[in-house]
Amino acid sequence: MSDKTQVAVSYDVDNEFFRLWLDKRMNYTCAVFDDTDDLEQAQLAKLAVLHDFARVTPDARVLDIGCGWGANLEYLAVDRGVHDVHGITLSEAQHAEIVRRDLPGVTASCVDYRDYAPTAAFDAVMSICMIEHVCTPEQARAGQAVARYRDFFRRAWLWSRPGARFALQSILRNRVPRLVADIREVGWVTYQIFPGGITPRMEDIVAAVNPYWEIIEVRTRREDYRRTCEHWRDRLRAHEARIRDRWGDQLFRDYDRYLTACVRAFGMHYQSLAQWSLRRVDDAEEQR
Amino acid sequence: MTPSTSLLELIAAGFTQVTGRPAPAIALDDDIAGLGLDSLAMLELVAWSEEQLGVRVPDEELATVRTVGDLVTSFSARLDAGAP
Repeated sequence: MSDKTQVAVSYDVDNEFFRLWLDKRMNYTCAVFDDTDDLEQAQLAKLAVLHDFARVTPDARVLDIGCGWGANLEYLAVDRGVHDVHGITLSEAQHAEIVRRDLPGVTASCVDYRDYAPTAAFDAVMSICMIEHVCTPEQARAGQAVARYRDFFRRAWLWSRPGARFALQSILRNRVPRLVADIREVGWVTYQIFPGGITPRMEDIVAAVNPYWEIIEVRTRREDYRRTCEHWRDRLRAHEARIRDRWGDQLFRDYDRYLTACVRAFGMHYQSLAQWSLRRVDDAEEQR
Repeated sequence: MTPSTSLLELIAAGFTQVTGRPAPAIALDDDIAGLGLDSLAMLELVAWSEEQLGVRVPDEELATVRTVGDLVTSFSARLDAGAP
């Protein structure tokens, strides 16, 4: 798991910096461009897909693990009228933004998910591109990835009610780069922008959900994430002068390099993205 | 010279190619991380070795490689089957 210091490297740069080039609600994950080329609409479309995957109703008690700056919390509470939504994040800056938004029916905790103890079980669980922080590169290399992810899925199982659904979105590590320049760029993003994290391989997720969750539906969206990164890079570059002036040349260079590496990584199949609809296996521990 | 010996020599040459340092003594049961190769350097070593051998190890198999012996086994399987 990325620790709090590593999470701060990725997300605590400055909320105003991310606000410049993300969509209005600050989704920092793959959008869905099925019916639009507009980033704002595509981010709403993504949240709609995951809302449906989790079978969320207005009366449902919903947990968002790794809730970022609260985009999904806001969507559920404001656009979908969900009365009881809780988000957890390990980023102080993200938590502060959620508190600032003061959304009806929304609460949030700044906590490592491994230390989280809910006061009541949830009807639906959602986690949008947080599982990339669950296993470190060192743990993956030591063959511990499936065990780390299974522990994550077990916790979600323990926190949820019988019959619960889990909408998961995850970047996937797919084709292994062989070009030295690409190996180095993927590595640079992994270690410099998202230290402590690594994207899972699809087969590891498939193995790790068992015995706690049944895979009902999986949809990959590699091209959508390439397009999302292109939008982010365009918007970043549109604010180049302001970013260089306020945060310095290095931050602009680093984020332009990172988003360029991501556009190529999704284009080359080094990375993909999957949206998963999971159904709780209520007798999972009885079967063990 | 056994096939494993020649592959070990190739991996040693790859270590030097990737790191610019002389290769240490390499044995089949050596953990690759223990040789001082991080995961990125290992990928560069794999890519270089594949090019020399004219083979390609499947990506999902690469994800399970921990030791030099794992890598030798993967290369040997491709060579025995006929490249790639």
